[in-house]
Amino acid sequence: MSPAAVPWRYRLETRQSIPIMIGLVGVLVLLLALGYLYARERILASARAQMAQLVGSIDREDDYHRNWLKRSMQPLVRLVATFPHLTVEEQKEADARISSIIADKERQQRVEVFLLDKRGAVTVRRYDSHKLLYAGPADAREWTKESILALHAPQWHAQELNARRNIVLRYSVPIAAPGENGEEENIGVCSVSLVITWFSDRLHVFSPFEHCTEFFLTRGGDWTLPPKDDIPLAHLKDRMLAQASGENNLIWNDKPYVAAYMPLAGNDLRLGLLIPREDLFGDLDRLTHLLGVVGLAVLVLAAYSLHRTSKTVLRPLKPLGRLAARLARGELEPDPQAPAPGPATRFPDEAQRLRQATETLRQALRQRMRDLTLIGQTRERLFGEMTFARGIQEAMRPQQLPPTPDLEAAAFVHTAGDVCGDMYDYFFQSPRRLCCVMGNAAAHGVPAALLTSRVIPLLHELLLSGLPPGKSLENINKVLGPAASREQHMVSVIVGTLNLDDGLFRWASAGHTPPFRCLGREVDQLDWTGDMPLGIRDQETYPEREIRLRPGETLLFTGPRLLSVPDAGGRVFDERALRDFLAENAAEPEALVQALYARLRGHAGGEPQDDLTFFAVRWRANEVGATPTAPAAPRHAPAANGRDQAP
Amino acid sequence: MEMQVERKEDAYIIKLSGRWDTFSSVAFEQKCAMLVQEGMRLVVIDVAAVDYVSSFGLRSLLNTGKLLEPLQGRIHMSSLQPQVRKVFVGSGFSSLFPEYPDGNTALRAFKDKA
Repeated sequence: MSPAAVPWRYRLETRQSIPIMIGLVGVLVLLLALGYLYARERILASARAQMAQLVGSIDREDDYHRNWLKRSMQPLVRLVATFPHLTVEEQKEADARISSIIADKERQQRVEVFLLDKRGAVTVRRYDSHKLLYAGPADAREWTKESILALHAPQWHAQELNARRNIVLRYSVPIAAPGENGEEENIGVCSVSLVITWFSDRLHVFSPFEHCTEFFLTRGGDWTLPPKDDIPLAHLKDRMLAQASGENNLIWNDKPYVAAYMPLAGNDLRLGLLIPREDLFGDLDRLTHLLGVVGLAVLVLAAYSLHRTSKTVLRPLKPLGRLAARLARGELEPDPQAPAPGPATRFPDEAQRLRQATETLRQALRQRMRDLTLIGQTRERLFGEMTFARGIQEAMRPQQLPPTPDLEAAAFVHTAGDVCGDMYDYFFQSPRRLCCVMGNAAAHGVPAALLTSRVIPLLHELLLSGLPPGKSLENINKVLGPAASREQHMVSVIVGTLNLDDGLFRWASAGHTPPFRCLGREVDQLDWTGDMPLGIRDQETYPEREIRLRPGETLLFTGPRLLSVPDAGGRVFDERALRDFLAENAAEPEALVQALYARLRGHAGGEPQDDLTFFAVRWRANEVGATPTAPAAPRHAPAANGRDQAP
Repeated sequence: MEMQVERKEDAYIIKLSGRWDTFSSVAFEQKCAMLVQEGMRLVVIDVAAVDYVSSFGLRSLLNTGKLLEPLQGRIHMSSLQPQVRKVFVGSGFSSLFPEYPDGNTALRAFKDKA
């Protein structure tokens, strides 16, 4: 699998840390921004609260001074009301008294007395706390005859700026005197003005802000800042006129400021503070910068750590991934591109342990594959050998008998494995004498096949040489017995000869299942001889027995496992079942063995799991004109060697 | 095939049940070899519950007998069922391993012969 085919989400690369870092930076910036805005709002709220306290203080001072102006106005008005009736000397005394009433050493208070003469002209007299400053015609922009006559009650004038750009409070009271008709009429106006320079003093006293510049803005758009500052602060002025209170950032004298403003003195004035941003947010800005730098440093360290970790973990994983892919493809040879393993460490980390384990796995798989290849080759060789052995075993089975009118024979062999432990043989010992051999080696597979391949030819030759069955078995037993063989053998064999002329069957058995004889529905089994299988005792003798077959009688030789075939429930095909089958199937040998196998197959519910061998021989004496012998009176004739039948 | 081993004085009683065939013969032989190593010398093999014995079963019995022979050990068979007895006696094994109608008789036979 090429690296390009690996989906992005599965690629273990160091750049995976990039989105993580971007996310961390984003979170950090967001936290910083939120924290900064929160702290800024808190600072501004604190500034607003302090400014509100200041405004309250100023308002109280303003009320005090207004009241003071009102109270000081009363004696003045009473005194001024006498002016039209005073002589020049008396007026000078009155002027002195007015100046003494003002009693303002700082000369911030002015008193102006506007009087109408009989001609309707307006004259004015101005005082401070020291003296009469001016006496003469009034300026037309000030009080006129009409405005004097229209004033019926004391009034406060809107705050103004004087020549020094100070706020001036002004309070005017009409001066009334009885007219010619006896009614009170205005003869003038007494106006008192006060320069409230103390506002600034109060600001410095109460303001918590250093280096701030305070100013007042009148409703007429005049403020106490120097005239040259009007232009750069025009935008601020517009905001203040439109909005009673608020904050505004601005650049003033090339420095950043925060302008805060609030209404003052019954909304006639705006108090404004130009606070250097450094004073207000300096600490916050420094803290923010510090946090930013620290956060950035932490991010850099985290990124570096991620980078290092990912490289430390992922770099060893890359060759591991290649190795795993090679293993998946079945490439078990060492990877030529793999980096050389480093020196063995005492405490390897997980990646190193994984790499070692994977390498061990690769080597084990490689060895296993070699073993499997070897096993496969061996198995293939064994299979070939077994096939060859099976061929040999099949070739060793008896040839078809020459056509003999008075004899029929048929065999059936079912081999569960490759080779069979059963053996059988039939051949003519002489033209009229048939030899029958059926046996079994108590072994499986190749050992059994080897044993039978050793026994059958020997027996064949011994019988062909004319030895009777018993003697043949004794000779074979000497070959297989404990004295001649180091291996423990156990071979059961039955050997018999059938004389086709008279139906005499002479046999000897070495512990093998005796054959069944059947004629029509009559079924019987020859007796067990009680003689031991071959290969157990050296000096064992095998006496012979004989019977005489009736014409048409069949002998069925079976292997030992025929009567042990189980069905699905474990119930075996026993002797009774075989007897019943033979009684119902008195057919020709060929049909008999086929039917018997079909019956066994039906009983087992499929292919029998063990070797099965059986053959049938049928003697027909009548058809060749031989003199059939009547059924032998004793079915088991006395043994030739004098031994009795087995119990 | 199932095997139950019971010890009575010096003798062991091995009770078998089921089919004494190729596969069970291997287990029988191994078990007997282990018991011989533990000191088993006199054995009664009770086959009352055995319904089939194959040539492998007889061979495993023969091998166990050969194992005990140099140790002066003996094997007695007991409670053979007819179909098993037919094979056992018919193939001459009764001359190697005497058979008894039940386990107690087989046990007593050890003392009698001693």
